[in-house]
Amino acid sequence: MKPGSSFISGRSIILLLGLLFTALVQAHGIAGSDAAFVAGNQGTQIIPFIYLGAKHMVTGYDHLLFIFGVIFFLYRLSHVALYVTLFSIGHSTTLLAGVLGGIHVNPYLIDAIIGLSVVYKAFDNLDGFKTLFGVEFNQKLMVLIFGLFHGLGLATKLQTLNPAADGLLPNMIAFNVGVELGQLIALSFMLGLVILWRRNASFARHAVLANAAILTAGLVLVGYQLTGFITTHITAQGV
Amino acid sequence: MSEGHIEVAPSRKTLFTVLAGGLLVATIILVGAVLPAEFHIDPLGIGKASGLLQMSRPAETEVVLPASAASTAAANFYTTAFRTDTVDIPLAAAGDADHRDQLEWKVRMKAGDTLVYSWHANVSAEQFYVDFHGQTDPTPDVKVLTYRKGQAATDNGAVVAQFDGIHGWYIQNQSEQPVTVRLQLGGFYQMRPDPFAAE
Repeated sequence: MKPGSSFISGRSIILLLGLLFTALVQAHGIAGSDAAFVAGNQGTQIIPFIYLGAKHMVTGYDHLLFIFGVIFFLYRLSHVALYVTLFSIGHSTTLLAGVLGGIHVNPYLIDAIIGLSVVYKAFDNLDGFKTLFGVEFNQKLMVLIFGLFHGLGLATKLQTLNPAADGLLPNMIAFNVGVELGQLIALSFMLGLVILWRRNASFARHAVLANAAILTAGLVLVGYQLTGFITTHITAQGV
Repeated sequence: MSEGHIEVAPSRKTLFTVLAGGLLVATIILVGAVLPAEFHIDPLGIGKASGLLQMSRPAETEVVLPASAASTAAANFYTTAFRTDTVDIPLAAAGDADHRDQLEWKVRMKAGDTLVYSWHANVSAEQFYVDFHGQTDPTPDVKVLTYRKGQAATDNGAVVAQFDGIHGWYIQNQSEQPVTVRLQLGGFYQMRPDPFAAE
């Protein structure tokens, strides 16, 4: 083993554990003073909404886990660009259509599906569907489809805040631009990490474990969101 | 090699291990940490032992007051003398790292008990949020009856408790300065050992 190789893999595993831990301790919505800003806002506010979109993406572990899963085994930058573009087309479509068209989806259910997308991608990375079930999905199509669901998730987060009708279109587009910027920033870090890790012998050994960890984090997200759905629907009928 | 997959596909055995291990670990994390901390659900008592359970509150249900209850009796009678209390409640400036910019303060009342109150905060109404409500003890759900909520810096009123439980205020300072709320109470109620306790 080369000197320092175990250091890099150790750091990578800590990062994965960190992602997992963040998923556990943090409810992912737009909260606090940001929520107050959106609720009280009137008119067009390009820069603040770009910032909100970027912040939502950079701190959005569910989106980040999925993107991390998508790029995990993409070795060529052109492939990375293609898949991330497909994902962006998907989530931009439903973010804009969802908010402007007033499409309301249950946030818990949509976040559970987003959790499932993480589980899917991690298992697909290990060729699990092919080996166990003999099924091969069209990966590009799947990233586009799950992108549509991620966009609905983004839309529900904004809708719960009742953004003002005045300036809605430019504000939504600014939010969307922010989402793409945030995704690009997060992607750069993740890509840098994965490329560094691949140079190391430990990558091949830990790739299965890493995807198992991503899959586990996805399952936790699914359980978390489904519990949220069940509890809100039971108590709503109670008394 | 098609892009986007592992170079050497793991065996079926490895994949089953990944799935079973993932489900097991996810279940342990959910039951041991997420459900107690986020939803106050603790089937195995792990959350109580670890202290994670106290991070969440029992599920709350809004109670709609039946129309008949809205008409109050012309007079209420009690076996004890009424009590009066005056409290000053300090709140830190908005965004306090320890969340001391917001709190709950409640007294205990039995159904039919009457509370008369006045409070005033040295802040503008635009920067102060109040939710005045009563709630039952958890069984395990908490039923909540909201009396009045919104932006205000002062309020006066009287409440007849519709159920046994705790009744009082959630207050939140949204200004850049620390705020003190002076609360005057009179009537038939009990002070709680810790009036700031959530339940």
